[in-house]
Amino acid sequence: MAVNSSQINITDLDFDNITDNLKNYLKGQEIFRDYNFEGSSLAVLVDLLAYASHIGAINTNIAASELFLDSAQIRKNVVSRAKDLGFTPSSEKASTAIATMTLKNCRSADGTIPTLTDMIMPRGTTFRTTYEGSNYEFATAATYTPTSDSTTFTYAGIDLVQGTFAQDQFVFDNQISNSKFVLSNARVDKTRMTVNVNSGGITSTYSLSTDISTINTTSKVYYTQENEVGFTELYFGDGTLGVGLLDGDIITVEYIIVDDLHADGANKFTQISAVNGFTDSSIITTTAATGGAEKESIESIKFKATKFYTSQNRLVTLNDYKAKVQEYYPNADAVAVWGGEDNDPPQYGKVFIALKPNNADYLSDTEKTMVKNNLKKLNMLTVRPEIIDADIVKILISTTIKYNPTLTTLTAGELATLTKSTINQFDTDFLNGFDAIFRHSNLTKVIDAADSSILSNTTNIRLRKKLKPTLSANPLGYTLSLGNALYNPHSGHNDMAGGITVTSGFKVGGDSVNTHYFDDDGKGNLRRYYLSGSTRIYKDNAAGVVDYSTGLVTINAIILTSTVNTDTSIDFTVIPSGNDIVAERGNLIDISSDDIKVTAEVDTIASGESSAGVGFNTTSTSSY
Amino acid sequence: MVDYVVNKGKNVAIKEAYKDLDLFFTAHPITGDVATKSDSDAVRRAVRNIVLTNYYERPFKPSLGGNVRGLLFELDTDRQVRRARKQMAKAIMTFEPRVENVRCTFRVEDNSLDVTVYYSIKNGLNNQEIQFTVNRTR
Repeated sequence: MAVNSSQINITDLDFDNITDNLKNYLKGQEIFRDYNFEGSSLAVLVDLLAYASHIGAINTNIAASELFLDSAQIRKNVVSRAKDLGFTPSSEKASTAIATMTLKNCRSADGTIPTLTDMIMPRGTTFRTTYEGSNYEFATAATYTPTSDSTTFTYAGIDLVQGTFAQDQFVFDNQISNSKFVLSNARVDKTRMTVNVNSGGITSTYSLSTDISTINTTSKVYYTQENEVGFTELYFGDGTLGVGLLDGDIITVEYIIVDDLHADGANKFTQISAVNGFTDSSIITTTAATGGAEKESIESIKFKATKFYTSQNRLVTLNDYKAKVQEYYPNADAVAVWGGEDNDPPQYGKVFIALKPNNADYLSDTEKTMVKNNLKKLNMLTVRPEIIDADIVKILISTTIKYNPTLTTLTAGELATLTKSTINQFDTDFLNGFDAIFRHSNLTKVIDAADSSILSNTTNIRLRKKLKPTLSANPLGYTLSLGNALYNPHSGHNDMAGGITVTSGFKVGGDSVNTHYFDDDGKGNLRRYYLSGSTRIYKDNAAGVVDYSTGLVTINAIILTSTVNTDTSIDFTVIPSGNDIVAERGNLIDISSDDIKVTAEVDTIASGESSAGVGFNTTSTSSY
Repeated sequence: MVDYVVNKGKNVAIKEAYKDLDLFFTAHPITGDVATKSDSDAVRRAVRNIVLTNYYERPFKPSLGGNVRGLLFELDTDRQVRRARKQMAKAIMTFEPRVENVRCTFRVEDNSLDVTVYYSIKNGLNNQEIQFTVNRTR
C-alpha cells in the first residue's frame, strides 16, 4: 500500500526493514517507478540510504546504551561510568604467602661471617613453588634485614608475592597539560605499586589517593585509573588536590606483573636467586599463598559501583559493610555481616563480619588486620568492626549406590568417582555462601541422576566442626555451636559406645602420656577418655554438656597442652538429628571433599543375579 | 523517448511502463532537474548496473552483480571465460525480471574486456544489445 511521506516508518533499525519502508514510501509517487528492480539506479540509491540509516541507527543505539552503567557493554565505558560514581575498579591481585627463610653456612670466601647489611635480602628476590604440577615464580615484596646466629641468618615474616617485578620511568613535562602516565604492562597489582618522584635530586615516595577529604596542597599522592585499553594510568595532583609535579621530575613506578594463573594454596617454596651469593636455605611457610584475584569484571563493576555510590564511602548499613569488604578483599567467596545486637551473646557497638576466601577456609591474621584497618577509616565513631572466621560446619557424606551393570560400561570404581565429583559439584552449586541450606533429598536426587545406571542410593551424613582451643597453662572453657539439633532418640542413647560424639585427640595438663578424646553418654554429658588398647578409660564423666536440641557443646574449663591436629584444633564429629542442615549466622556449611565415601554395589535384582528379593543387600540409614 | 513496436505493419507507441533515475545525474537541459530514463533505456541501464556491480558491493546483498570488474584479475583461460559468461547471464536473469533470452559474449583483448549482452524485454522490445569495454587501470 502506498503511503504518504508523513506516514513513513522511521523506527526500524534493520537494513531490510528500512529498505521496505523506503520502497513503501516510493509507492506513493509516480515519477520513479523502478524502485522495486534490484538493478535500477533508484534501487542503488535506496540501498545506499538504507545502509546509511542502518549504520546511523546502530551507532546511535550503541552510543545511547554505552552512556548508562546498566546497559554499557564495553569495559572502558563501564569503567568510565563507574568513575562518575567515584568508584575505581580493583586491579588484578597477586597471590601472597608469608614465610620464614633461614640461610645456613653463610661464610665469605675469606672465611669471615658476612654482616647483617651484607645479607639484606633485596626486594624482588625470587622463589619458586610447584603447585598442582605447575611451577610458579614468587618474589619478595620488600627489602628484609635478617637476624643472625653465627653463620645462620633468619628472615622472618617475608612476604612472597606471585609474579615478576617491573619498573617504569617517566619524565614529567609541564608543556603537556593533563599528563597521564600509562604503565607498560596490563596485569598490574595496584596495591603493590610504589611510586617515587625525583624532583631536583630529592626522591619522595608518593602514595595512592583513596580519600579526597584528607588531601591538601602538599599531599604527595597519585591517582590511578584504568584507561580505554585496560592499562593502568597514573596522574598527579594539580597543586590543590595533591602536590603538583615540576618540569623534569622523574617518576619511577615499581610494580608486580600478576601471573595469569594464581597459585593460591601453594605452601612449599624454594629459593631461586641468591642472597649475597648464598642459597643454602630452608623455608618454612607460615601462611600459604592466598589472595590472588583477577581484575574486577564488568558485571562486578556494575554491581559494586552502585553499592559504593549508595554507601557514599561511609559504613552505616549492613550492605555498606558488604560492599566495602568486597572492595577491600576482592578474593572473598562469601561475606556475612550482622550487628552486635544480633550476636549471641549480644555485643553492642560492634559489627561482625564473617569472611570466607575463595580458595581457603579462613583469612590469615594479616588479611584480617588489613580489612579491619581499612574499615575503621570509614565506620562510625561508636561502632567497631570485628572480622571473625566463618564457622565452617563440614558435612561428611557417606553414600552407597546401587547400579545396574547392564546399563553402563563404567566399573564400580569409575561410578564411585563420578558420584564423588557429582557431590562436589552439588557443593559448589548450592552450598557456596552464607545462608545456605543443605537439602538431603536434593543431594540424593542429584546422585541418582549422575548416571543412568544408578538405581538408588542410601546417603548418610555426619557434621564436623573444628574447635580452636587456646593452649595454655590455665584452665579454659569452650563452647562449640553446630547450629543444628543432634541425634538423641532416647536418653542414654549409645551410652556404652560413646553416644554420637567423636573427636580428634588432644593432650591435657597433668597427663603428657595419653591422648585424650571426648564422647557423650546420650544423657547430655560430655565425657573425656583415653584409649587403653580399644578400651575407653574415662577420666572425666562430666567434662561438659551436650545440648542435643540446639547442637551446642559446652566444654568445662580444661588445660589443653597440645592437639593431634597440626593446626591446634579439635575436630568434633556428630550425628545430626535431621538430614537437612542449615547454617546460622556466620556459619558456612560445606561438604568436605576429602571425607566423601562412595560405595558402588551391583543391584543384584536389576542385573538378574537374583530374584524375589533374595540376596539383596540393603544399607543401614545410620551407618557411616 | 517512447518505445515503439511494429503491429500489423504500423508503429505503435507503448505506454511508458518503466521510469528510473539516471545515475550519471545529468541535468535536464530545460528544467534543470535530474534526467530520467524510461522504458527500454531504463531496462538497459538496469542491466548495465547489474553487470558492472561487483560481488559484495551492494550492502547486505553480497551476490548481487555480474562481477565484471572482478573478472579483470582472473586468469585468461577459455574455461574461465565460459564460467564468467554463464555467471553474468544468471545474475541478469535473477536480478532483472523484466528481461529474457539473455546471452553474454566476452572478447578479451589488450588488457581489456569487451562485454556484449543480448536480451529481450518482456512485453517490449526484442533483440536488445548493450556493449561496453572495461579496462584495468592498475
